[in-house]
Amino acid sequence: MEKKIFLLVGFILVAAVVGFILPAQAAEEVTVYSSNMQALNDLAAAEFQKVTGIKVNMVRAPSGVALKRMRAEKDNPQGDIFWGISKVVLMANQDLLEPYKSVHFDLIPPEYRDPQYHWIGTNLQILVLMYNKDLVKDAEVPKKWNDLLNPKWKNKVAFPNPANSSFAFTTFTLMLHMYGNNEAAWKKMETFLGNMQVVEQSSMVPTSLEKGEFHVGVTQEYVATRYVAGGAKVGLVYPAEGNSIQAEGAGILKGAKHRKAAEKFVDFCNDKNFREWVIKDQFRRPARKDLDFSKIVPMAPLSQIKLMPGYVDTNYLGDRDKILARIKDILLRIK
Amino acid sequence: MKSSFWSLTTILIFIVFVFFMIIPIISLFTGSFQTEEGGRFTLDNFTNFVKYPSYWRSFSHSIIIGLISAIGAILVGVPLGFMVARWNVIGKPLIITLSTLPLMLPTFIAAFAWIILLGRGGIITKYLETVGIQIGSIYGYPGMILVFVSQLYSYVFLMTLSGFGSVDESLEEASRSLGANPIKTFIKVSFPLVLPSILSGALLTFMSAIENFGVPMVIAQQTPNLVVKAYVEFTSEVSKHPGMAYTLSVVLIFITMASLIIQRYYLSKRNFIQAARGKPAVKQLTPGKRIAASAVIYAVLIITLIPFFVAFVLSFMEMRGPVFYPKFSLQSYIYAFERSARPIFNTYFLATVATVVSVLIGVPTGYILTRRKSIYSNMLDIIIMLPFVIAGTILGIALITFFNSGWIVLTGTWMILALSYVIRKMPFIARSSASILYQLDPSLDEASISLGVSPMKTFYKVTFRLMMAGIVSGAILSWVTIISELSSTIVLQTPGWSTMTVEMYQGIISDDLGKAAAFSSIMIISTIIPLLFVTKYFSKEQTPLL
Amino acid sequence: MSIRIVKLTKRFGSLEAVKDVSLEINTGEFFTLLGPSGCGKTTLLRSIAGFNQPEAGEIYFGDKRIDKTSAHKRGIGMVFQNYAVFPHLTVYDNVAYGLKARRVPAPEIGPKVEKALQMVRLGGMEDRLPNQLSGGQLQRVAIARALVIEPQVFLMDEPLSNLDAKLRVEMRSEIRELQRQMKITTIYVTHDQEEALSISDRIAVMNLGVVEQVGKPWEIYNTPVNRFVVGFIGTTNFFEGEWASQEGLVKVGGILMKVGGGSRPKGEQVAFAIRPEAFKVAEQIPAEERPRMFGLEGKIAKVEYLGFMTKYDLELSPGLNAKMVSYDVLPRNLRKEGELLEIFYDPQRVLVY
Repeated sequence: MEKKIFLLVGFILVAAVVGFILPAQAAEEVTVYSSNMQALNDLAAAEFQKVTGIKVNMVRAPSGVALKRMRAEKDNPQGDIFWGISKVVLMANQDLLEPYKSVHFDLIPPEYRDPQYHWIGTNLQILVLMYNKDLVKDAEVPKKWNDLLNPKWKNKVAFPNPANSSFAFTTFTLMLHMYGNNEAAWKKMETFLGNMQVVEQSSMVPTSLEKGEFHVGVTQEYVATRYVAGGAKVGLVYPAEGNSIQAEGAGILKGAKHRKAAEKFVDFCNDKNFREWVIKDQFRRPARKDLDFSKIVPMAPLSQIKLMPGYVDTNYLGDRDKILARIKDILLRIK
Repeated sequence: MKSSFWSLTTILIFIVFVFFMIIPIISLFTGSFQTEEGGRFTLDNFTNFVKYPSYWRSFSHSIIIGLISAIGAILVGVPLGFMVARWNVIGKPLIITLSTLPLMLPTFIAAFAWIILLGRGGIITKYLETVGIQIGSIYGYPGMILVFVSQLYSYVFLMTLSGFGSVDESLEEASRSLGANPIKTFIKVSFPLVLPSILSGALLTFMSAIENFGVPMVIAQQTPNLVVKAYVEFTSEVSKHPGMAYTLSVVLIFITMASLIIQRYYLSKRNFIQAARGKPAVKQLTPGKRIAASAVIYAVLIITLIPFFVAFVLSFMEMRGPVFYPKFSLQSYIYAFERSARPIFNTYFLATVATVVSVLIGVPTGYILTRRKSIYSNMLDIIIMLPFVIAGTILGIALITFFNSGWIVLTGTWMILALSYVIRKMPFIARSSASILYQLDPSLDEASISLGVSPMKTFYKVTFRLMMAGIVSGAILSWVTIISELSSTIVLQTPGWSTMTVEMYQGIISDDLGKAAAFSSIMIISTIIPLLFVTKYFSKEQTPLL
Repeated sequence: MSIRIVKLTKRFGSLEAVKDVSLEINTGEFFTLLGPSGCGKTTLLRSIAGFNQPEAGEIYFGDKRIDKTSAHKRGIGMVFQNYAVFPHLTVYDNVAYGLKARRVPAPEIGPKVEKALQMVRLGGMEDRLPNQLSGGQLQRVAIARALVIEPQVFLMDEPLSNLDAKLRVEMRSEIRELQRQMKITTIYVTHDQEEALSISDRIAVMNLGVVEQVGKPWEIYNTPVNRFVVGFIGTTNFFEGEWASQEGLVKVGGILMKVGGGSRPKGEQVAFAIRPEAFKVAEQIPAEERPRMFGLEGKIAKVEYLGFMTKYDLELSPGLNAKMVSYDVLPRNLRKEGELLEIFYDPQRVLVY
């Protein structure tokens, strides 16, 4: 009996060691810190490996977590690429990135790329209010940002913590701007936060909403659209007061260990075939100006979406820490 | 007799534990007294803890949920334990095995499955609506209590079962002969004797509930407990020095330590039950009553196991985008294996390595605690209780911070994961080895030595051989619980070293439920098969110190 | 192999379990350490075996000093109170265990094991597992296992204490026979004085860490050197009184008893003991001894009929009782409670302290 057990354990250990060593000898690889949803990450990794033969280590983490890790690893980066991050965050953390001029640089509009090549936009995000059709009748659907301050929505609306979600941060500053960006505006935003159910991960908004934990959620257009396309009983609304186009992109980390593979990946992100597939499967608007989104999927073209007048998201870049600290203080007091 | 070998081993194990566990935890304590920029001493973190409702509410959430779960576990576990101990219900071994399953499987799968069933859009919810019954929201307290009670009741059940099964028959007979009827006998004699066991089980439930990370994250994010809050603080982008995370960790450690002290010094002193005395008679019920009682028990068991069944079924359903459809499909599994094969391998690899190391350290430790007592062994005895006091997430935070820099950098490697598992499992192996050794006659060692075999060889040829069965079953139990571990893994995982539980968790909180369901099934099978192996070939001694 | 113990002291914390004990045991001798619980006999045995480290003193096997040698190198054979038969090995493997440890060549092991099992009358049980054996059989395995390696010294720690009374008596003579055949120096520990008297060559009576007396069984029984030994070995009647006059009369509890061995000053305290079997009824005394005897009268307080003998508890005077035994068990000679009985004893057989 004991002999069998020893053999078994020995076998497992040997298999484990072999399995451990073998992958290490595998072909070239690249590590990507991505804030994208897992489905997209997995598919990008598979596609990239198919096309280039390079293995991708996808590390999925919300942008806040990823950023913390990248800062901690600054002197010895374990990752090569930062992907699926909003422009605002990329700009704020430019010191962590290395310049690389992507082959698609000229196809990206200037407002969605870094002139010094530190990062390049890959897709554009639009804010929407998503709602659960079983719980919210069509007549009651909130149509404006301001509707969210109405007491009838108390604890029924999911809003990601701006500290962890860049689009939530954009939403917050957008509304702050809308109310005048002064103390009175902050008072309104305090009411807003009090009304919201603040969730720590933005990805929980659609899943929990679809299950009925929330009636309404602040999320990104493509997220809501995926659910609608999948047949879920949800709907989406573009808030009437205005929206903001959020560029998301990728950048190579300074000191990346697999520079060449990283460059290939950055190019791959904007590759035409890949992008078209992403549009069809994931409903994400491309940054590339030569791809016509509304021709590929039946959704409104960019030009038809009303933007918040006078709001420029990068204006709030410098005060980001101060704003987040104030938000945290409010949340700690009222939640 | 050369005792230097064992003295050396004792000191070595002692040092390993001090360095890899105690010092990181102490750094948590010191960190909680430091300012944002790090370095200066401050009580700000603690005043913040009291000042901000969000923080001290997490404290009250932890305590309240813990207490309610413990009470719920008593309400479910005690009647069940009594029935199984005293009545001839059908299939006792099966009942015991089924009741231990929920303890081995990740609780957050249950949370996720209950949402599928009883969430606002849940299958059962919708059905009940058609017959006019509106159930409230499962999110928050109701969901947490449902999950904790249904998954952790077995701590109370097993302790109660063993308690009622050990009350000496002659005590009850004496009571009846003195004129007390059966009910009075139960209230005045049997129950008080079993009470310490019941409370010990309830305490374990309490401690498990408050250290849980996955369930509140999935089903009650708006009423977070200390663990969740600490994790959120630790991973938040706003502050560079997560002093509040350390503070919350410290508060949690105090709560669990207080619970443990109550257990050791209050409950175990009042334990009047002696093991293996005259067993009480098992009442033979009439066939009708027997079936009815058994049916009730199995109904409860089935309810607690429904979530895993649900996860299993979901894994075979088709998914369009993020939505499930009631059509058979293997797409979730294909997807899981194609894209996330590495986490599967990682899980098994890490669990195996950690289990082997835990056995290599734990068995000699158990030997030292029983046969080589000294000042160091007494200290070791106390030290290895500490992992029970530290929630997994907290341990993760401590390790990742401490081994981030300096001359041993483990943060970012697979070894820090394995280390966390070893710290948490080795005490269990040590304790179960010690309890086996208590039952082994020391004369056996001496007989071997008297026949000319050196003490070291004796340990191998005699003691170890006799402990083998117990060690193997302990190792398997450890392995099974490691693969389900989330609370420390979520903090310590690194590029390329994600595990199945992390993938499942990510899947649940993002939109990848198919993958979550597929991994759940793999995990359930990986748990059940070894468990069946253990119960078939080894004794059914279930130590709840998992 | 002779054994010499020189001034051995073993302490546990502040308790001195063995105090400055010196003993010499001859080759081939069956030497028993006898005493009540806590007297230090087991501690002493374990010091000889090497399972504890004495604080002071020396132990020699022959000329070789071995108290600093590791237990497994002392060449002992040991049998334990709870058998300590390896539960995971068959009877054969148990007995062969020590031989394998000594790297006895494989072809020789079989025959040796067979022979050992025959010696303890367990031939044919080679393949049994310990859980299939009775207590007595287990102890035989333990004995076979210890003797098959032909140790220089054979140590036994209360080997029969866990067996039932009848088996104890059977096995103790078997053990003695074995030991005689093998002529092996044996140290035997027991608290049972009957056992010790029946099988030992010499006995060391121990009490509270000290050896009270060493001697052959009949020496220990008939000429115990102090109260403890007297009290421990066999039953006895103790009397305390003061010398009354010349001719050895002692005033005890209201009566006069004659004690041999010369006279002492009147009034001095004296303690003495008389064995129950030393009291005789008139009919049991041969004529030539009659003059020597001293008579007493007592009232029978209790009668205990044990089949082969009868124990009488006599009240010699209020508060003064004496036990006697009678082997005359003919029903017509049995006395009853309340009867008066005249008993006689030989004053020279009184043990004085």
